[in-house]
Amino acid sequence: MAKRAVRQLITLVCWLLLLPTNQGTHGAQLDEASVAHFENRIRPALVKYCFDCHSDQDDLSGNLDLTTAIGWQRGGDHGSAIKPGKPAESLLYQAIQYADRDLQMPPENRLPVDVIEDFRIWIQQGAVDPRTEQVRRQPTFDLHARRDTHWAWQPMTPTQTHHRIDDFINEKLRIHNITPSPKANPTVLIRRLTFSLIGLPPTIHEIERFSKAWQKYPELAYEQLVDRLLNDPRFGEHWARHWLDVVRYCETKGHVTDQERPHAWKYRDYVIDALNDDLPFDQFVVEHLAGDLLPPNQHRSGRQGQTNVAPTATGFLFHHEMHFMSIDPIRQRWDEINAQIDVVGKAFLGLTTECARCHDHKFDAISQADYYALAGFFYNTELSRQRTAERSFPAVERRPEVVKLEDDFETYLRQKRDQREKAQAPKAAEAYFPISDELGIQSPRDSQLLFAKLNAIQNVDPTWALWVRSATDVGNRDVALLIRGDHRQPGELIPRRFLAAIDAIGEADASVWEQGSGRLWLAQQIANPHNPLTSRVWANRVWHHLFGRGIVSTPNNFGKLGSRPTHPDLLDYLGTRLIQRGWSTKSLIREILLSETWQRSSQPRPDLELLDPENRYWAHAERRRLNAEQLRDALLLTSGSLHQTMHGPSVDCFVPKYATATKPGLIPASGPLTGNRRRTIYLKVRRNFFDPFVRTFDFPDPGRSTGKRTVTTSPNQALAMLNAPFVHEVARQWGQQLASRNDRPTDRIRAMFLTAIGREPEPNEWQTMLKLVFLSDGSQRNSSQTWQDLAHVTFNHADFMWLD
Amino acid sequence: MAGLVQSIACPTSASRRQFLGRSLSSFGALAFNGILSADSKGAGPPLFPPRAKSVIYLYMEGGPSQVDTFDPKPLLRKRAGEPLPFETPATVFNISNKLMPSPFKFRRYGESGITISELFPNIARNADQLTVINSMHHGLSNHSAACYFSHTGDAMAGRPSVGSWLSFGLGSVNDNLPSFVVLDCGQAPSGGSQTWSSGFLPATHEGVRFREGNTPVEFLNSLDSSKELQLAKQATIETLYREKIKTRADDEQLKSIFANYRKAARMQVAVPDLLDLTDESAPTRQLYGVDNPVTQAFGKQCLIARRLVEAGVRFIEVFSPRVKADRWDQHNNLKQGHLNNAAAVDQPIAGLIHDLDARGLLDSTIVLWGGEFGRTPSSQGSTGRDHNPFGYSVFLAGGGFRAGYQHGATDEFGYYAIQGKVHLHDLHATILHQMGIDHKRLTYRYAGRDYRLTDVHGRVVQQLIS
Repeated sequence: MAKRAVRQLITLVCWLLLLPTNQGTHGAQLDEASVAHFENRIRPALVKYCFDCHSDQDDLSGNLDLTTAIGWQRGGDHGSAIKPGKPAESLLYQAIQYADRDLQMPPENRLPVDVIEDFRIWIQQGAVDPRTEQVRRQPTFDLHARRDTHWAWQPMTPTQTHHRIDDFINEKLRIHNITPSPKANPTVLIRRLTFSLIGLPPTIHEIERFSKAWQKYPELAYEQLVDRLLNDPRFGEHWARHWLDVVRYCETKGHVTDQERPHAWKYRDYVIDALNDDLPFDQFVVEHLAGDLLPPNQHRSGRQGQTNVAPTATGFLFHHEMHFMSIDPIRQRWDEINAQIDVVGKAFLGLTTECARCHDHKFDAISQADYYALAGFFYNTELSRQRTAERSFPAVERRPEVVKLEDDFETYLRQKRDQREKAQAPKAAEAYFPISDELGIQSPRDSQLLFAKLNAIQNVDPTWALWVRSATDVGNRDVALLIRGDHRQPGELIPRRFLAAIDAIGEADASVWEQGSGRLWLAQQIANPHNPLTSRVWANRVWHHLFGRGIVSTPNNFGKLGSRPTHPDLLDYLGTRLIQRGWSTKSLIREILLSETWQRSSQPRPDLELLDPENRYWAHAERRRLNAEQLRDALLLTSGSLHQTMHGPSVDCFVPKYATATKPGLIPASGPLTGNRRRTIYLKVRRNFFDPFVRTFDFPDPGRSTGKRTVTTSPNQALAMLNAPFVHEVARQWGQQLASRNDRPTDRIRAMFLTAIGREPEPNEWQTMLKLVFLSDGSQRNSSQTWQDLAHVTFNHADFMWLD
Repeated sequence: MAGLVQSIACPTSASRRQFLGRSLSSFGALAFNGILSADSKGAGPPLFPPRAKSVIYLYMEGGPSQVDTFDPKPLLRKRAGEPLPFETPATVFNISNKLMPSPFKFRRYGESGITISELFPNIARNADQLTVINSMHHGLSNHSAACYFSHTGDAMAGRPSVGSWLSFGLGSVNDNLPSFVVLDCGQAPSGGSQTWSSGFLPATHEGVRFREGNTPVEFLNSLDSSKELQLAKQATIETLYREKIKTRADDEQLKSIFANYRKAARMQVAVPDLLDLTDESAPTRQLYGVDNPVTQAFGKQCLIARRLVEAGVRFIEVFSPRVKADRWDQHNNLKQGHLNNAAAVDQPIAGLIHDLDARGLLDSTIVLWGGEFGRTPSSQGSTGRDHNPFGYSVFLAGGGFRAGYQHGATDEFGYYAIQGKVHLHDLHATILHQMGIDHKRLTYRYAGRDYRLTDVHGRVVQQLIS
């Protein structure tokens, strides 16, 4: 009896706490007839029809628990499930009625009519529910607690006692009683260094010069080599590709037609130049987010005469894939915004912000409100084309025919956009909604028309090609939080602001929000030295690319589910140094390369099998496979075929004859097999028909931001190196050159080894290679075919593809 | 070592750890310094005894019409020309209006009495082996999005395909063949190559495309002028590797790369053998329609699919072939288009089911037939139908699915699934279940989240399985 009273008291308290206005219905709870109705009609129906998905507290569909009264009172993601006394206003009743196509329960079958009627009566009579079990307390989202307990949100605190990278590394090694490996030999170092900085192998001449210099002053020789390579323009070509992975650079839209994006390649050139110019990283960030909004005194002229290249950087917001003929442009617009929040979060902050689209982040200090606060910046931003060259070419008059074509083009885009907006207007949550012009051109016919118009302009005015894809402001509104990320369920309006967990930065002046999207303000927050993430994330990426593994081994995720730094002090030191030296990436790279740690030998260390099998403490360097670009570029350079032209429109991918598509007309025209012998970064990145050779070596899918490539070794790679037409073609070219040399076979083999793998052959290698030159009867095969075969074999040497 | 694999190549979640179970150490032994070897045997044993070992997905690109194949709606004849009496969501072309009766006759077949249209006279003879689902739905109206969804559980590209998930989860049982094979009859699906992508799973689990013609697998064929030369070069490369290994006995990477060269050599023998159909008997070839020009393209691929199942390949996808009409996407001239498409696949599919059964393989092989969506019961123009992802039909055979069973229903016009609704996520969950995998436990950590084929949805549809 006492127990029952307590139970009732608890129920009462809960009801009072949760539903203070429903006190009246509590009286109904005592009504025996109502309890009987529940027990006889409702409880069995719940068990039979609902518990499959709404009873397991570890796995509640829509977070709705129907095993107890508090469960439905509190409700799930859509809010409280039942309004006692008001069936028509109760979500649960609406769902079982199948009134709304998007919320039908149970999902597979409509309930029998009498059961639905039972529920109606039950709710009408006050939804008496005697089940008083507590639901398990869902852990509440406490942003500040999460921020305070996770390392990455804390300010950087470099220790004062360490002054060099090696101090941090060696201290850990000492603590764990590990002796570091000795310095690698100079032939290993020059190869490792050259590939790491410019993505290509050193030439024979460079190796010889370096070896000579090393004999006199090894340290000076090394330092000079580092500086020479950092100033080599090919540095930008190699390092730009690292960044293009992160911003999921792609020149086509994907889906059925995989339409091209004119001018997309200009972003790639922007990144190459920014790295070569050692553009301060904070400025790089600002230009990426708001290059189109910078005041004239912050405009930056380009290498090809452009007065201001900064808007080009914002093109990175528009590399994502696009639906073909979407029937829900509003949804697509939100997907686009999500893609932008995703790439900004990962690239600059190492955060999975996009996880907060439908609910508060499950692990990190990012609320759903944070997400929609950020969404506001991008909601008011659209893709446009900006003429960056106008002022740099005052001599070029805008001829009337060009102006007319341009107007025609812009009118066309506007019409398409208006058409779509009108078509969707009745369904839109709000009358005003910006839709990117790319959304207006979705049918193949539209696309053809568009291209025809673009070409027409370029034919008349070649300088028109100096237009770039850039962001532009189209509004100044805050957006509403979308319940469960559903654009048909807008919630409260969320003012634009930065992530709540990063609060060192202060509030914006109200005028910022009136002027437009506010992206410039956002950019300044992200690039602010007090932001604990941006410099750490970038310093870690640099370390990752130089060592093969970051101090945080998940470069795109500094959140709770990412890895913790192996050397937190070192990371803070590097992040702080980066800021102190004006955000200079090259200085950071230089300091790392001059450390002993980076120069260590990569010889395996069986003695560390137990102490540090993963090499977390960097007692030695890691052997690394060349990545797809290094491999292809090395094949071209080694064979003497590499065309070292920089910049410009991309080369079409090679498409094998046997390529297939939904319709033959959708297969793009093939580019040349050797990609015009250009470096891999200049191959057109297509979603549907990317170069098969490059893809085999783990070139990442442009559908997502990649901070760390998966590295696989597979039989397909062996097959590619043995049989790819591209490999045979470069072997043929090299073979021809070798055969035309006026020297002995042994000289040639020596030259081949030095060129391809940076060292002399070992005695047994001489033997093995010479066997292919001399037939069993002692006679010599000395055609260009022979040397092609030897070249091919050399490309398949383990040391060609792997870096010590 | 195992810890390293977890942190670099594999997810770290508890569920994943449980899933990997004991096999983790052997998995780890093959991976080093973040390099995942293609030889890894995948993730170890399934969670519970599987009913099936392989899946053959007969993918009907374009969207076959449910009301013309497996879901007869007599009301369409009675009310032909009238508008649909309810509002429908936007479709791609938004011009569907008048109800259009099916130009095809339906009949009940077998003891089960499953209704099938005259488009599939041969498949109909297997009616008692089929599980027809008339209540599929997902709501995505355009080809590529629906195509990705059918394969990856997501409307955008970039997630792993179901075959990649199975390859990752179960590994291969054949050392000389990939565990996920895509058979292409010259017509790729609308999602392009990302349809069989491994997404964020290691590239090893990507579908490997076997093609018609002289280059069945990318880079498989030697380009050397003679066999002797090819072998001499291979021998030289192997010698160089062996010598190198002698000096670096501790270098596991090196051994693994060398192993890949050996495996590549074995594949160069195994794949042509597998694709060489000359040892198939005349009756078998006839069964699949290999020598009939109409059925040849698809028949060959179905026969190859059976041989791949025998070889232990986990997931085989066969794309519908190019015919003298558009793929199943009949926005106009539905009658002729569907006739052409059906004629190209009917006999091969019937042959495949019969042959698998006769060889005792059907019980352990799931055959799945279906497109990315169905079509509207109302017409587009006067002779075609638009896309309809709200109610459509697929069928399964074998693999422990309930034979001779027709599941669920659409409304009386065939527009919306209303009874026994099966979402694509549910179908994926059920297929994984039959392969011995709990769809909620096959996860991969990527970008701070544990991803599943079924996202946060899906349930095993018990009625579908026996």
